[in-house]
Amino acid sequence: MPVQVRHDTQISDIAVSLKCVSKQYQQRQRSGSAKDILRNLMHPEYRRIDALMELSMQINRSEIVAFAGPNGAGKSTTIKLLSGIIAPDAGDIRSLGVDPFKERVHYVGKIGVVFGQRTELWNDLPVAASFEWKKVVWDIPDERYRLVLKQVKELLDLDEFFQSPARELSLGQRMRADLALALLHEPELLLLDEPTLGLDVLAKKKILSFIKQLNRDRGITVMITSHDMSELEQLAGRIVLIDHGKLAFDGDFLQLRKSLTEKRIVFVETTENAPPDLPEAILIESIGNRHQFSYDSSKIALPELLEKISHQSEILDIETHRPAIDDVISEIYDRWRGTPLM
Amino acid sequence: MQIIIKNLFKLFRLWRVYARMDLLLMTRDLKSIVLWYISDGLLNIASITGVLLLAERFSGIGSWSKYHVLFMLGYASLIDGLLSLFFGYNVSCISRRIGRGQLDHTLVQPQPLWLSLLTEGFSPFYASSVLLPGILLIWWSCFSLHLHPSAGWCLTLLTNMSASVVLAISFQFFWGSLAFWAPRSAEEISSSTLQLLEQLKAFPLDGLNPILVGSLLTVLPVGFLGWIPARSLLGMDNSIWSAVFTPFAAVLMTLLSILFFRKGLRRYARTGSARYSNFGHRG
Amino acid sequence: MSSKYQKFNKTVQLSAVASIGENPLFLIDYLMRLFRVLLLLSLWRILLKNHPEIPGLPLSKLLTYTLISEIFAQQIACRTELETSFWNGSITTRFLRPLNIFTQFTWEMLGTWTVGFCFFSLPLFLCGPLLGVNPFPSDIYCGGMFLVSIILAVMVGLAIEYLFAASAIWLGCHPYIINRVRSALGALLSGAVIPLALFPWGLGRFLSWLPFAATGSIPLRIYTGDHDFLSLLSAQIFWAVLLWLFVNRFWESQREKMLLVGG
Repeated sequence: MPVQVRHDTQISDIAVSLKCVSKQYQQRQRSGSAKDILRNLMHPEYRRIDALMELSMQINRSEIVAFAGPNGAGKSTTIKLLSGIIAPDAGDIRSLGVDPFKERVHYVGKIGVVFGQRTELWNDLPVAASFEWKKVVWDIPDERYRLVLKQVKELLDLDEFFQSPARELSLGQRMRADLALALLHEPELLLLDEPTLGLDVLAKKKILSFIKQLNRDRGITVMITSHDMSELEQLAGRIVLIDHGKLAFDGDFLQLRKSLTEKRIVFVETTENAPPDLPEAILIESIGNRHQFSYDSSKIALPELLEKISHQSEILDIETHRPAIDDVISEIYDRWRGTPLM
Repeated sequence: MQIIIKNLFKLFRLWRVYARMDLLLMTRDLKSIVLWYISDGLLNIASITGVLLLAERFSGIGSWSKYHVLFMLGYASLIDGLLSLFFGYNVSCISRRIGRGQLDHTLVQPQPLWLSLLTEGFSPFYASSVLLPGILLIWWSCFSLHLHPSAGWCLTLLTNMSASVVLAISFQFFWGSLAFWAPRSAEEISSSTLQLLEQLKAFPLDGLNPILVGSLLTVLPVGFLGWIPARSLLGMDNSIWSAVFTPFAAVLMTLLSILFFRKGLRRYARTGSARYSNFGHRG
Repeated sequence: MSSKYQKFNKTVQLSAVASIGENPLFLIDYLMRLFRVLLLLSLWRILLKNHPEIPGLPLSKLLTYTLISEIFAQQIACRTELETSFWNGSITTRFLRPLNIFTQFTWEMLGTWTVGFCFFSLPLFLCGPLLGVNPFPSDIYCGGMFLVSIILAVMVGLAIEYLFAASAIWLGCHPYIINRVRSALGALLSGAVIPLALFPWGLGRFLSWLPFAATGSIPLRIYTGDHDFLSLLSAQIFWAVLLWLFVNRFWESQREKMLLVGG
């Protein structure tokens, strides 16, 4: 699926603004052995974790922003800060025009949060009961509730398990129910922390297309974190990468690829089983007469490469594409760690 | 003023929705209802039988006759029941919610935290098995002691009961707040303190060492969950002070626990919670 | 390959370290228990001040009984992490370990006991005289037999623990419900809080034949000078054998259901 540039959304004003936001945690260190018990109690050791270091970024209204980074980069911390659950140690956060932490009660009525690893559903009660509960707690007017419920039930196919206890739902069903729950009060901003974790391809597709539709129809601003890059690429027009609490990249996926590499992948089917000898390209794999190469398009153009191949054997078929976004991101993470690239 | 009225209306709406959810949970199948009420019945019996049997064996405890002890047991059971009624689902064991990182679920709700905590634990069906025995015991003891409750007496009873409940929950929140600083170590502290309150509230403290009595009216205020109110209501202490002692202590304990809990919340705002477990969350 | 002793040692060690937590706040639980024992000791002094001595249980013995009951409270109660394991579903992964399931839970329980012993039981024993209580056994024979009895008590207690847990699975009810019932019944019927001899209407005599009494009342009676070792220990052995036979069969029958429960 080609990468779509989503600049057709209405970019009117700023929904979320982080200015030099820092957040630190202290993590207690213990050796775990019995002989250190007293020492650990009397002289505890701590490790300082800089979850966020002077992070600055903005999200415009109606934008869908992918927020990615390696494990421990600070993604969940950012989501928690934007949810108003915790306060930053330094810097300024404004979301929907308010300080999320200071005006939490009023603010959370306008946002929806979905944590992939946690559910807001009541475990031993039918899903319907959780929705009824939400209606009261979020003060949703009866008419709006009925209308929105009908819509989310239809769009997310909730009818099949709406009367089932949440505990008995599959992961995909639970996620759909959580997403529907988060949207019940028609939030302006949706924060999704790994909402497709552990879901199968079909369930992911359903959820992603639902989010895109929401953004198109209602202009909901979405910030989504995930480790699935291809999923983010399908959904978001912009990606923000953070590493060790710092902003590493902010732009669209095309820029991301270009910023790192002009690498291309080409599959060539020839009449010979032996792969062609190409000094300008790296042979990745050769199965029978089908050979996979990667090459740098800034150093050698595809026609030139193909010409060199054709001098060595007859070309039967060619397939070319850019490296998968996961490979690109993986390369980026490797570079950040100083690990030699493969 | 408008906000207060708005919150008050919301309080009742929330109680209603939580009551409905409590009923749904209790009635998910017939076996659950039966097992729950049988187990609660056994528990209630076990919690009061020990003291009751001692009172029977020794024809009372100290200067308390058998029926005085019965009244005190009934009062203490009622307090238990009221705590379960308003603060079930781990609200009274707040350290569990904090220690397990479950507070986030409450903080993403668009209402003041106090409103959430005052309503999320409302479980009238779950608590009924504890309330009823308490009411029965009080009625039986009043009948046996030929006590004829007047309007003033009933008012004193209600005031003291409310104060005892407030004191107990404040005490739970006071100690439970330690979980903000030590989520792992203090996760179960509320259940320990609650267990202790349950075990010790049924004993009359007359004649005990003054330091011990002082501790049981301050550090571990079990004296206010049965002994002091019962002394006042049974006419064993007719001073005005005995009638207002429990409400006064409740106010003090509440102020202390609010201070400490808010301090804990400020710390939580800085540190968040690195732990998360949905163990015991949302029923 | 690790020997069984090494496995035991490591498990107990880790369990002990885990139960301590990251700071001294775990001591608060012991403070609460201290309050309880002080209250009970005071209560007995008041109760028996104006009453004739109970045959076989003078005030001094009653106070010793109460003190030792609190010192060995963990051994009398015998609580493991079973309920938690059922609730959060980790019971499944327990079966993936190369250790008998009962062994795992028992060893972990012993780990928590080491902490309780060091931080509470031993200090309370040493402070007994300061509280006006004689913490020592009635005589050396009683002391020796007490050690045998407490081991038997633990065996019975563990059998009861596993039995109740399996019952929760069999009944299909929340382990929490059964756990609460067990705690309440155990405290009352074991004689740990209130000696069975103090119950009226001969109730104590009847209750002393039940398995709960084998977990608390019997060892405490031996400690405080009941020399009827043969019948007391025989009762414990009887319950230990009977209950463990039943536990093994019952667990096997509920095993599959156990692995589908929880989490």
